[in-house]
Amino acid sequence: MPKIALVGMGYTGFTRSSEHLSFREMVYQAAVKAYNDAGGIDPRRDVDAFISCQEDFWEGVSISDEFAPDQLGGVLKPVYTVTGDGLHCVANAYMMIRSGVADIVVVESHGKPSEIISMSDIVWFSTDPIYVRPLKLPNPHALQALEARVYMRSRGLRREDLGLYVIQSLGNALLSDRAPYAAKLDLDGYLEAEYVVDPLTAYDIARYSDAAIVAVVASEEIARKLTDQPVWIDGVGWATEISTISMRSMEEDVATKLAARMAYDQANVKDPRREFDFAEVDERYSYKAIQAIEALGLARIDTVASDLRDGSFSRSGSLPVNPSGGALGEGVPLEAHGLARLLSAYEQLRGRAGRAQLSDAEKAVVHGWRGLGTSSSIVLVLSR
Amino acid sequence: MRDVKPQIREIEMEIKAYHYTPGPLGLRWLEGIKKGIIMAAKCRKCGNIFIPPKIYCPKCFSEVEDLVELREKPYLASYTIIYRDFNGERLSTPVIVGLVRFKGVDGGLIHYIEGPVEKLAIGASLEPVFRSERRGSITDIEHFRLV
Ligand SMILES: [Zn+2]
Repeated sequence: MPKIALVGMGYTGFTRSSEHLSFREMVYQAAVKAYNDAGGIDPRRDVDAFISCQEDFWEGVSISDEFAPDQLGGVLKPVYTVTGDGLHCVANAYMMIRSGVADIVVVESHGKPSEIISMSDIVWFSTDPIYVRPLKLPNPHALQALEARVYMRSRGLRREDLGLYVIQSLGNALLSDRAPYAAKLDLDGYLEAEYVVDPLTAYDIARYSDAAIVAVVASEEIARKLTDQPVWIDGVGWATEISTISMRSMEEDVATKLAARMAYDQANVKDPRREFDFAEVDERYSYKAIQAIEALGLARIDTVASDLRDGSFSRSGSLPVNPSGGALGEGVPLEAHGLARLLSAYEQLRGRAGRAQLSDAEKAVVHGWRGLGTSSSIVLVLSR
Repeated sequence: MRDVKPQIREIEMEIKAYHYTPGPLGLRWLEGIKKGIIMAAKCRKCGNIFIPPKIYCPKCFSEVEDLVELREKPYLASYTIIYRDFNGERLSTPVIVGLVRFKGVDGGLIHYIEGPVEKLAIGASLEPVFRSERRGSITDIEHFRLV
């Protein structure tokens, strides 16, 4: 079967705020860079279809997908929106190309949380209106803290272990140009932080940032014409556990496990721990990243805590995780967060990760999650 | 030019003006809460007992018609103490929020927890404390008390 590749990516932002540009103008800037990166394609001429991942409530505009085409150069072309993480867009592009309806598809996602004045209300608005929302919890992160406690308890993870993860990730982020929250932190500094929602401190919860990211996905034939360095998408998988929070397992990230199984089957990955050179995972919460590492098959249930303490997931470990930082250092640009992980993997696999470049980077797993209160995950297997 | 603020900065939307339908089982469940009774949905086909109630069984996809009263005391399946709000502001009084589950019942309720902090632990026994004036809402339960 012909392969499918990422042939270009571009981004703008990864700043705490970006007042001078509208989010659509940010997408335009990212698109121009992505098209240049993809061998100078012209979207008006060369691209078959466009897909956008966005949410009306983040945009502050109802039916906001109708606004998707212009800033991508997609007017008068097939365009649609997926309400999911940016990586869900990539999965859709993959399917369009695999099914033969398109040879080259552009995907975009963006987030401008600095514009959202009532963020807390909007986040809370995503909860069940009858059984949860009337409680008006003062902090919706509490919903994830409930899961964090159960997960940490079941795996023997202590507060210090979350600290190790946070210190590692914020340190890795110092090597990135996209990480406004990167920091050199030590364990004492971490432990001094007060709880926000016990057992999570402000260090364990990623903050927001503004960004737009565009990717160009192409069939093998087109990819080989456009670039000498295609990054192959060997497998994609996604799954959702259950909408009712109280019915979720909490001891494990079931959705990520199922999504990984689907992607690994396609990519013929048998032993994820040995086969991948690095992983890019969602780390909107420190504990959630550790849970994802395990669900992706990169650590065993009974050894995930000791692997973490041994530094297995550090840049010099057996399986570096988020080697240029993740959400904790970059901030979360809403639905674009998954594409931020994809971008870091893409740069590593092309040998263009700058100071964050790993010596061994041939095959990677990329993971996305839809964030607070959700149970939808997506997994991609990439190789160069 | 960064200090030039956009002219239209903020528009209030009536995003909270919705009616939400709890559905036939949900309505009966809320009527139970109004009477001071906590019930769960029960699937005739697979026997799954679950809350919150829905007319579809999350396990086997059958249509569900029955509610059963939960007489046993619930337990604390997880908890968190909220010290700061979403914007980072410290709460004047921290609040405890728990995942309240019932033995043999799938799912559970997320709710406020009160009681002696030394009893705060996963597995702790709980009892619902109902408000005296009730209107058929999850908030008719004021909190669950650690016992
Ligand atoms: Zn059933």
